[in-house]
Amino acid sequence: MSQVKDQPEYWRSLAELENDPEFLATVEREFKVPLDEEPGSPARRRFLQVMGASFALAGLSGCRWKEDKMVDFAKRPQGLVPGEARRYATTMELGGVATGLLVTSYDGRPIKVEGNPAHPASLGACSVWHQASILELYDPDRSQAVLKDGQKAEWKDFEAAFKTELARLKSAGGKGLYLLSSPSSSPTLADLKKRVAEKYPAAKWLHYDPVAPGDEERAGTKLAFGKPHRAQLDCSKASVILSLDADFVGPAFPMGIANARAVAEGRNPDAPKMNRLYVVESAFSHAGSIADHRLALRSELVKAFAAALDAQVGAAAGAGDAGPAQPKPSAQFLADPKVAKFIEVVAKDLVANKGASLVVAGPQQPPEVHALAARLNGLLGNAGVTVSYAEEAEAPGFFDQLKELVSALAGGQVDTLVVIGENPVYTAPVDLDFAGAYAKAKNRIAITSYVDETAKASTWHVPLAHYLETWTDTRAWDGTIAIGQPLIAPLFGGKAASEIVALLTEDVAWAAKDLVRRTHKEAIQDDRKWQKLVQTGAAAPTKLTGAAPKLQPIAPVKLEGGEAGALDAPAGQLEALFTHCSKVYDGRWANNAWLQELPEPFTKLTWGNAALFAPATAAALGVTDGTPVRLSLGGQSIELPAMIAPGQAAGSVKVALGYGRTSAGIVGGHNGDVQPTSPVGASAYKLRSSKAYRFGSGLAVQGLGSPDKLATTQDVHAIDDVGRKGTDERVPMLVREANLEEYKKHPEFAKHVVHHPPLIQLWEPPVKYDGNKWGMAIDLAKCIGCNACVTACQAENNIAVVGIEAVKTGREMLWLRVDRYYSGKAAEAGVAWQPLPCQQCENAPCEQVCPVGATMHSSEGLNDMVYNRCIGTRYCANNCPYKVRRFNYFNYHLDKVGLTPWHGMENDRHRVKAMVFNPEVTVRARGVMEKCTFCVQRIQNTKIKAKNAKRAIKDQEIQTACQQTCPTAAIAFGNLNDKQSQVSKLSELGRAYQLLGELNNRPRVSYLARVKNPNPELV
Amino acid sequence: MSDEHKADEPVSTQTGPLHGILAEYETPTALVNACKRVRDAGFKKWDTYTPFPVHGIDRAMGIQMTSLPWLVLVAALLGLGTAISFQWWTNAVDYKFISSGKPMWSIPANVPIYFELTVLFSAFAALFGMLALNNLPHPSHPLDHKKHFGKVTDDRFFLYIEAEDEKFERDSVQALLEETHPASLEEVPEDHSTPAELPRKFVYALIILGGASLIPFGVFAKMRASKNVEPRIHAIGDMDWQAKFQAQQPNPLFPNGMAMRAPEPGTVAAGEPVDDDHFATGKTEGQFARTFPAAFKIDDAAMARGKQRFEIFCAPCHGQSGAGDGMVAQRASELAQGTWVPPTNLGLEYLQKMPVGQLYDAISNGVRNMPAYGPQISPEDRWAIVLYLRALQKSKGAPVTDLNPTERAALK
Amino acid sequence: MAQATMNPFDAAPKGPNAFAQITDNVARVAELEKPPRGWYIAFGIALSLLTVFGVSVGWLFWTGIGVFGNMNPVFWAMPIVNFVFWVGIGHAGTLISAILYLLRQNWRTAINRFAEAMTIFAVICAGIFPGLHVGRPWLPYWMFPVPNQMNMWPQFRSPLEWDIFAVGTYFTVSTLFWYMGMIPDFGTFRDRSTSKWRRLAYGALAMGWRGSSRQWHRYERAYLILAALATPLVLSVHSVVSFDFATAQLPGWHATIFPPYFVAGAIFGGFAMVVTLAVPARQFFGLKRIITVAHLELMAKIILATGMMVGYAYSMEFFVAWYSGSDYEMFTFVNRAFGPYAWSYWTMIACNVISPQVFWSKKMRTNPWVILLVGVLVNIGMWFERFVIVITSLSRDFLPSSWGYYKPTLWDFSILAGSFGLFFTLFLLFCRYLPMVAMAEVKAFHPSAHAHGDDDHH
Repeated sequence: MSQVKDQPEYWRSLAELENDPEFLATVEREFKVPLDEEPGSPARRRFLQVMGASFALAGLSGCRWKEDKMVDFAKRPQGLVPGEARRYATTMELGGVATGLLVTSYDGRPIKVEGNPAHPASLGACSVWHQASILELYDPDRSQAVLKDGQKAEWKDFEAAFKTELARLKSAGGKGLYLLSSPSSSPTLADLKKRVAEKYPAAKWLHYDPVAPGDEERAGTKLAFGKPHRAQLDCSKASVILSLDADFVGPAFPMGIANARAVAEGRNPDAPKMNRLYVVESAFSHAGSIADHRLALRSELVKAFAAALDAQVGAAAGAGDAGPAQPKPSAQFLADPKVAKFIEVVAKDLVANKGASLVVAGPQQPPEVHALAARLNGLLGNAGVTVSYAEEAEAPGFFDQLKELVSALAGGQVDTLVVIGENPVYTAPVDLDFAGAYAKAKNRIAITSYVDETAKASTWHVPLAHYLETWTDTRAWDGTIAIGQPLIAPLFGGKAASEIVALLTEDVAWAAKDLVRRTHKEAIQDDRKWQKLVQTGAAAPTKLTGAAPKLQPIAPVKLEGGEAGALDAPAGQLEALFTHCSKVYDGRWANNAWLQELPEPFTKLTWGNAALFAPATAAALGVTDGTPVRLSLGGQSIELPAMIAPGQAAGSVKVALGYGRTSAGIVGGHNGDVQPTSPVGASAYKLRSSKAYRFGSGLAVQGLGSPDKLATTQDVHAIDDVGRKGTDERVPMLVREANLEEYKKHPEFAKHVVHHPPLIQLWEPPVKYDGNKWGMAIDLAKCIGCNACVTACQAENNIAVVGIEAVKTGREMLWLRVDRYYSGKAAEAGVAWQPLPCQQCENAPCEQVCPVGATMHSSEGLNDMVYNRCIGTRYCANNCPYKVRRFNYFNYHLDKVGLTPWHGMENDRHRVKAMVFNPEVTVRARGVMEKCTFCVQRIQNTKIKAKNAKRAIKDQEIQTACQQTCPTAAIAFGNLNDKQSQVSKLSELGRAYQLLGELNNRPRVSYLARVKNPNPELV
Repeated sequence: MSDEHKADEPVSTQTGPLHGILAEYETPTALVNACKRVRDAGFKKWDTYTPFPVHGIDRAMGIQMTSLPWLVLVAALLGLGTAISFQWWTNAVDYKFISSGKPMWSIPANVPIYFELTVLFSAFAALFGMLALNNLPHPSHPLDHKKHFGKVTDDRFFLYIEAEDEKFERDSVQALLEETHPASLEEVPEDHSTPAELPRKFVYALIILGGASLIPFGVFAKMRASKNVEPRIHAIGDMDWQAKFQAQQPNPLFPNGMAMRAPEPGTVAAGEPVDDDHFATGKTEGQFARTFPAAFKIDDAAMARGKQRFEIFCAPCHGQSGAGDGMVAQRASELAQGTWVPPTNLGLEYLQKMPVGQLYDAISNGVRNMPAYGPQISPEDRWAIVLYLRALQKSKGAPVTDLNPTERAALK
Repeated sequence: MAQATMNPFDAAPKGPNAFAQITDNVARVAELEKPPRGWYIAFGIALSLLTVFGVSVGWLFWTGIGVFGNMNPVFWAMPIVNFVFWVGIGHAGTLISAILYLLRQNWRTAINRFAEAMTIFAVICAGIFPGLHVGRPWLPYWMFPVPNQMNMWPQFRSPLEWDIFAVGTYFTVSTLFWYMGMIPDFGTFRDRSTSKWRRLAYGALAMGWRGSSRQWHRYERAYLILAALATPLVLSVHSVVSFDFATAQLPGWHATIFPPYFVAGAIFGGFAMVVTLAVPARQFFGLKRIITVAHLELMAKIILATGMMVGYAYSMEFFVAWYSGSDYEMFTFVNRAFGPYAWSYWTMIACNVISPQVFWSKKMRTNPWVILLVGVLVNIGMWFERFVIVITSLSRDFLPSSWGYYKPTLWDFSILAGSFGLFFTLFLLFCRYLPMVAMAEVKAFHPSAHAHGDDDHH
């Protein structure tokens, strides 16, 4: 890569600067202003660069008009029309959970990821992780060379060395050969695994993922059915759902997106029947956020809860031949009247809805809970209806596999260890001391996409190709096979996992393309059929099916330590809850700036993690938002800022894994020699142990002084009483909410929440909007706050990343934000979501105040923003009641400040980064205002297509980025003049209202009031 | 005291011709009283000079009300008119846009600027009108040579009668002024010492400055006229170049310097006709199809489309009628270069018999010198062209009887 | 008013050569070989502050508006506060000259000249800020209606566009007014000047003014007209500035009370600045006999009066907010007084409403140093008034989700300090080289200036 070549030149000006007094003086002065940050954070680098640039007088060279050339293929491949987007089906896997995707390619470059409507796990939607994966593809920090003991080497060197080692190992039947890879559903890898086993009988191929689901379920279903199974939910058939600490609508849950879609459809208050959702959980989850009834319990208490519930249900429903029901467990918290009542009511409701109810157990819950869930579903006749069980192969849990590997390493039985796509040195629980054991292996080969902690500790490192760079195949949770096509040749010479493994089994190097094809050869002989499968990206007939397996008696659950405790836990015995991060997952995306800057749904925290406390617990410990705390567990301790999380179970402290990376990259933090940056957040793996793997009690917390400012995008300032009172008063006006009965009684209630004088126009509107009249409807009853829309918007509209200091200052750039409002009392707090794009007001307050007419109204009712005309008075933003306008305080995209004529393509780092941008959207420069435009570029594209074909635009034909990716289809967009369009129908609904409509801005966005379906007995 | 005063000033008397007579007073009162006399004596060309506006002197001198206010009124109206017409023309006529659902033109939004411009214009009129009426600037005056007169801006009051006044008569004026008990009384000669025009160096300075001020314009003019290989100066890029790759932009990152990437072999984009051989390749069971694919709907629209595409892509060489006489072909044969293979006449026998699949294939992948049009023309359009081509071929040598009467009439 | 108190001219020079003394008093300042040391010290400080200004602006242009503390939702912050602050200061000058002239408040003559100077310099400072604080400071000229290749025109519905015209006109008219007033005094300087160059320079400025009564006649007419034009202009400028806020939808800005409230505040702050300048000026340059205690007392009274108007406006805002019945309005004002920015609100109240109350006592309002102190306090208070209006309103608007807390940066302060540097540099130069007091006018209203002609009583 020429980037390496460029580096010296790129840094020379800096090197000179280091001891330039004037420069140092400026830095000194800079330390007072928000522009400056701790060494290495983005804005600081921008600052360094501009000084370098200005001293190098680069401006002079840049002060003339730059001419650009057009280059085209001599013979262009068929169907590739420059500037015309094409879509390719592919698939992405995370922790063994696959999702089918449809990726937009522009001039042969992938620029946007969407869900694949043909894929059962996607249904056209996808999650933040899928959306953000495109940024990882174009991350210049990705590994770009084969490394031998940290030194650059060539692929052929590795190939040769590896082959010789393999020859040696083969003679020993593969003894001492270990592979560690992410859990994967890939048939190709499965096929290769078989071949490896044949060729190296003594070799071991293990799988590990620190947060992947499935382990406990397999163990649990084994308890229940005698054989491990996987549960496949069909939430559409369930009218009563109980979640036992399961975020089954969240993106990390198998088929989470499909579940979210089904649950949301079942929550339509305008349909004859609306489902009811009970959630028992320790920390707020997406499921909990839409629950009709939520019981905040520490995760460790859920087991006892499940047992108690089984006792109740068993009594009511009759255990049949499934063995005796659980004896009523003796746990203190069950004595609590609230809990008792909850269990009683839930049991009643479940039994009342036999065959139409569903009990889901959380992936992080112990096997007993899964067993009890399976049992309950059996007793309630749900098995085969709302949930079906498909048999699984016997396999130890990922954690056990890792333990096995570590003991093998410690025992010196490992000669060669190939790590593929995982980062155990960083993600292994602290008490295993993986790093120490790892060093004992002779050959340590890390096939990773970054030079991460594990790669650094390895003898060999080979860059792993991004999933968009290579052929893959996956099986969705329901067994659907999907073929992953590459959208672009590997940018940095990465290799596919299958290609590496093929080195073990094959004599000649195989390309991933052929390996994947080979795997499916006998199933699909005909190349045309194969092409069809590749094109659609999902094959229907391969579904796993499961006849309801027979239940076995389950022994009474054993409750130890905190599991039998009271509702609240004593200070020294708090429960530590280790969860995947809803942004960086297990840390693998720590270098993904979109994800780092994405506000965590509940805390709205960006750029880091925090220890989440229940308000009561925080009060008891005397900590508040931003207080640095030391968390100590099993002799280990880490320091993190505290945050108060309403809805958190008392005595439970949630910490997200995946932070504190020391070898992630410039964004996520790394201690390399070029541009070292400090880690983002603190690593909770340093606290995680075999005993407290998913969660565990015994956590001690110690406050360390006064609170620091947190980089949150909401409630940025510790809210005083005046503010809190004001908020409480207006939230009911902003997020309008009612119970089902109330709604049935007053279908128009939402329209009468705010009383205001009649909204009359002083004048004839200058435009009739008789052509297209674009509008949006957002259903607050469906939104689960998953943030996918936010990242989709960022990817579609080239929205800049501004860095932690800028977020602290309050300069976040995201056009679409999901407002989160807590309601009710601390532990029982409810939460409401409100996605907030630009409301495209017909009487837009922002327009009249712009002195240069940089924002004006289109004849189709869009509030257009003319970036090139904008001089940045920011008056429009002041006058926007929704504050959805965003301002470029610096040249964020150029990653250097200054009055620079360059367009941010001086070196290959920039050129790589620039490839992610949507060519159809302006990359805004410093000093201009920007805002949501209802994805005007998509509107225009479709209009052109329709015009050429001389036809009208069909309803749903135009999808905004946020709408397209929404798992619950909570967002509708279309033409309000077309009375048949989905959006008009929704906007006509009784519960449709307009946010701050009383200001007579005439917003084009209608919100559908939130309607809940609580159980009368619990209200 | 006035006597001795006169005595020690012989100068004034002997240098002539006389310009006027100046009387000096110490108090405004004295001056005002003197004024009345001079006024009553009926002089016209006379004036008084005071450090400050003396109260009541206007009446004493009989000064008429100035016309300045009217001037200002006119300017005010001019300002108002400008404000109204300018705002109306810019926002309601020349550059219309919809803003906050407000009318393109409404009075209230424009009132502030009406007011401001009205005031602005009037203010200019007031100052410059005053200067003009007072014919200021007025660099020199004979009085400037009188030492005493310097105190006029300090604490002395003067009355001056010009010799030009037809009533003027040295002795009588002397006498008249004597009676007003001036602090001093003296004769003011014509001013010859002060040159009529500006001093040389001022003139030069002005010329130089004037010349210098033209230089920039000269530079601009030259730049506009002359040719320059360098691209124009454009100091601040703003968003003229953006960190993104638009269609067909170069990207030095890749060896071939292109931002455009070829699709990976074996990948299939959505919408590509993979399952319809006939439609995609024009072949069925490896043979060129003799029929149009089912996926291609034959109707007037298709025919029209085919005609349009044919005229865009084929006609330049093959000619409107497909006779191989397109403009390119004609030009090429004029140039008569050996390498040129003339395009085929599409009406030829064997082409009429050629299966449509083969025609489609020829368009898609090219034949002999004809390049492949697959990348540029979508499959539907290629089939449409084939359809139209068939129609062309049929029309050649089609018997008149194929036409209906009206068409036949049209031919005649 | 003048009648209500001792005659401001009692202290003025008397006797046969009174006029000469007045001339001498004023002109001497400009004719000194070396100005007093105080002037040099002040000028040194002012210049260094001006340098700070230059550096800050340079850095701002290079890096971007982000060097300030502005953020979402506080998109306007200290630069706009400073703008409104300076525009406010810029009122007293023209007001004293124009309105007091129309009201025949002759005592104004002692102070109007440098009040006008103050106006112009303040407006210069004010005018810079909107230009500085736009996102692309190389483009503000797009707000001016200049024909361009883009065939675009500014939007005249925007209050900012009104501002351009209002402030522009105000600056121009004030300058004309100021210059016109100085023409006769330039004449005096010319005639007194000993050196050739002084004579040349002042001569050019005086344009050959010789005090002809026929010219005086038109001059006074023109002066009256300008005064009559300037008076509504003064009132209009700050009204228009207040429209920037009043026409917006933001709770705390969207108020019909703003125009009069802003004008009162401007007069208040303007006079405060006048006394702040007058007291040291009369001290340094020995003008005690021209700018008398009586003058200061009169201004003190005006400060007291306008101060109470402002106080009334503050309380009225609360009433209106309650009376409007709009929850958002009510919240905004409660938040002002008791929210995170309460400190700025109470600073404002203390300085603007409380501190002037000392002027109820004659002893206080005749003590120059007390007046100076209050003047400074009021200036601070008026700055905070703008801070309160602009920032507290923005920091918490409709949706709690977008609330924020604004913190100014070093650059915010350096620019503010720098603008004072600019102001005082200009002002000190003015003191040094231009007639600080309108001599001709002072003389005109001097007791011995009245011509009581013997037969003048018909």
